[in-house]
Formats: sequence, C-alpha cells, structure tokens
Amino acid sequence: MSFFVTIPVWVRVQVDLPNHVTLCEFPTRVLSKTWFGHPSEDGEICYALTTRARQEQAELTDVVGRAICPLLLENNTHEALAFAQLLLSVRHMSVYQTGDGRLWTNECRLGYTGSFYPASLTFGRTSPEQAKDAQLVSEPREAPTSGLTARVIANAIFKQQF
Amino acid sequence: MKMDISKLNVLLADYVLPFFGICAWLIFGVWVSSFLARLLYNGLSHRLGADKARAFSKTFKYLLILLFIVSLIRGAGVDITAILGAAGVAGVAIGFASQTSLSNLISGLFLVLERPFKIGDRIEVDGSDGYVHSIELLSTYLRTFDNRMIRVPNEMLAKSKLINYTRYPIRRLDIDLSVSFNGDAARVMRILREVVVANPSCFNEPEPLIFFKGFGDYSMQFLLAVWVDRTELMATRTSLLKDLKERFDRERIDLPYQRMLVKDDKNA
Repeated sequence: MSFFVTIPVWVRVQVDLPNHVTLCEFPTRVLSKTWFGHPSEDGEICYALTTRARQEQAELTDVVGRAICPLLLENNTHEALAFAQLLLSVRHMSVYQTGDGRLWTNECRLGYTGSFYPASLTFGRTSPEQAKDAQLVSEPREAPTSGLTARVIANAIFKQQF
Repeated sequence: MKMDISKLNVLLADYVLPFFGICAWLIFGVWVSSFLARLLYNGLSHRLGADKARAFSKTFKYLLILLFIVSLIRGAGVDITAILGAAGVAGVAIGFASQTSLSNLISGLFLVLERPFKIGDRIEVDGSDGYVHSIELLSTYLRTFDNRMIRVPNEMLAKSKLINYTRYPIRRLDIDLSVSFNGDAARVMRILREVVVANPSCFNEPEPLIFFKGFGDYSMQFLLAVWVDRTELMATRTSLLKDLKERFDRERIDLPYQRMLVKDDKNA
C-alpha cells in the first residue's frame, strides 16, 4: 500500500564559510509531542502528526511549508496488517524541491514482518519517482544505512484507564 | 673510625637491597594492576555500563595486587600454607568484625548485577533524594539537587524500598484541581482538555486523562493527568499551571479557597 504524508519542515539558517556553520533551526509549525510504544518499554518520543493517507497526489491540499513523503507499506506476512500508528524516521530523509516549489522527501519503505519482529526500513537514495527532476535541498540529518530495522508499526495505541 | 667494609656489604645484601627490592616490586605491582584495571574499565564500560565496569575493574585490581603480595611472600621464602592456616583463624575473627563491610560489599555486587539504577539516575531511598554519582564497592554516592553528597551504604540500598524517578523516559504529570461549586463540571473538563491540547509539551499519546473526582468540602475536585518527557517535567508543570490559571481567569471560573465565617455572639 502506498500513500503520501505531508511533514512540516524545519528552517535552518546557516552561513557558507569554508565549513557550513548552522546558526539556528526552527520549525515552521510547532507540533505536539507524543510517545510511540508502551510507557515502560522501549519506545521513542516523537512529534505527533495525523494524516489522511492520500493515495493520489492530486488530493494533497496541505503542502505549504511541508515536504511530501511517499510512503510504501509492505506486508511480508500472510496475516492482515492493522496499524494505528507509524513512526517515520525523518532524520533519515532528504529534502528535494521541484520547479513548482513543492518540497519532497525521498521514498520511505516500511516492510512489516510480523507483530513480534521489527519492521524493515528502506529509504530511497534519490528524489522520489513522483518528483524525478527535483533538486536536492538538504541531506538527511543521519545517513540511512542498509538493513535498518525498528519498531515503527503499532497495531494499537496504549490506553491507560487510570 | 675505620669502617668495616665487609659488615657494610652484609648490611646492604641482607637488608637494604631486599627492602628496596620489595618496595620496587610492590610499586611495580600496584602500577601494573592500576594500568590493567584501567584498560579493563575502558573495555567494559561501553558494553556493561560505567557502574558494572568500575566494580569489575576494581575487583580485578585488588586481586592482582593480592597476587603480587603472595608472590612476594613466596619469593621471600615464607611458607604460604602456614600463613593460610593462621589466616583461617584470623579470617573468622576478621569476618565477625567486618560483617557489615562484607554485607555492604555483597549488596554492592548484587546491585551492580541487578541494576535497579545506574549512574546519573535520580533515586530516592530512605528519605534521601538525589542523582547517583558513583557506585562503589561498599556504598553508593548521591548528589542532591543543592549539591550535597550523601553516602548510602549498599546494604541499605539492597534492603530498602527504592524509587527510581528516571528509569523510564516519560512520566505522567498529575495535577489536582479544585473549582468552586458554582462552576459547570462539563465546561471545566472541556477547558482542561483545550488547555492540554494547546500545550505542545503534553503528549498526544498516551492520551491525557481528565477525571471528575468528586465533591470536596468547598469545591468540585478534578484530576488532570498528562504524559510528558521526564526531562521537561517541571517546565511542563509550570507552563500548564500558568495556562490553566490564565484560562480560568478569562472564563471567570473561580478557584476556591477556604473561608471562615466569624460570628459575634454579643448581640445573640
């Protein structure tokens, strides 16, 4: 299953001396924080984002100040994949810009291998297919390595009654 | 006075040189033990953590020093078995005298293996609250918020109830609120939710909880429970309380206080 997620970007102010010096960074939109996982187990503090998971590019409306991320979710099992939350590792994403000013990230592929195993994470090395002529704006904060796996698919959100 | 060269030679050979030899061997032994212990600590600290690595490296160092001393004694021609026999009796006497130290030592090893906390954690034990500065063989040192050092024997840590505030990366922040009886409970709960949603430090998940707890003597009681990054606990509490006060003032919702009515009986 593939769909698009629009992710608010951060603006970085830097000077181009012999070495790039970053003066400051700030978000274009302040997102609320959230927790991915169980409170007493391994998890991650994240920014919360809701998405309508548009499957057609033409249906994307909220793109100003956001980068469009093509997300491909693969189910490599025979069981049905029901998920409530996805964790996107934006630190592994590059930002590209097309001629019309739209921002894109590289393609993100999540491979589901069962509820007991971490999912595989793969990031495209170039601009996505939907924006082949896009120019690179910024490199990822952390270069993705091959064979990345992580708990990024949650089939339920933790609920505590009290 | 004529110096007897032969007596001087005997003095040097029998006493002075062996004495310097023993000192040199001991110094060398301590230096080698320290060096190897440091290497072991550097190698283990990444795998096991600083506290476990420190415990293992210190134990290793003292064992090495003991080996050097034993080799020194054997080299001096002393019968080790006789010493060990005597040590057996001395061991019983010393054991009785040092049972507290031994208990602390064994408790320290169990703490290192069980790991209820690690260096840098904030813990509370027996009324002492602070950050774990170091875990030694006999005791653990805590640094308080106002920069005092508390030494807690490991035996006390092993047998007391211990609270680790920094074990998990997120904490739940509970705020009890009282609103005067003339307020609308549903409206208050709606306002609480709006204030929480507007505060980006309050986590979306796990979901914030808002309960109407009941009726107090002077007010309606509510509980607001939000999950936050534990490193931002106090800052979020401050910002949330400030937001709540401002919003309540704007909505003209009274936060009650206890009032006392004093009646003059003269005119009764």
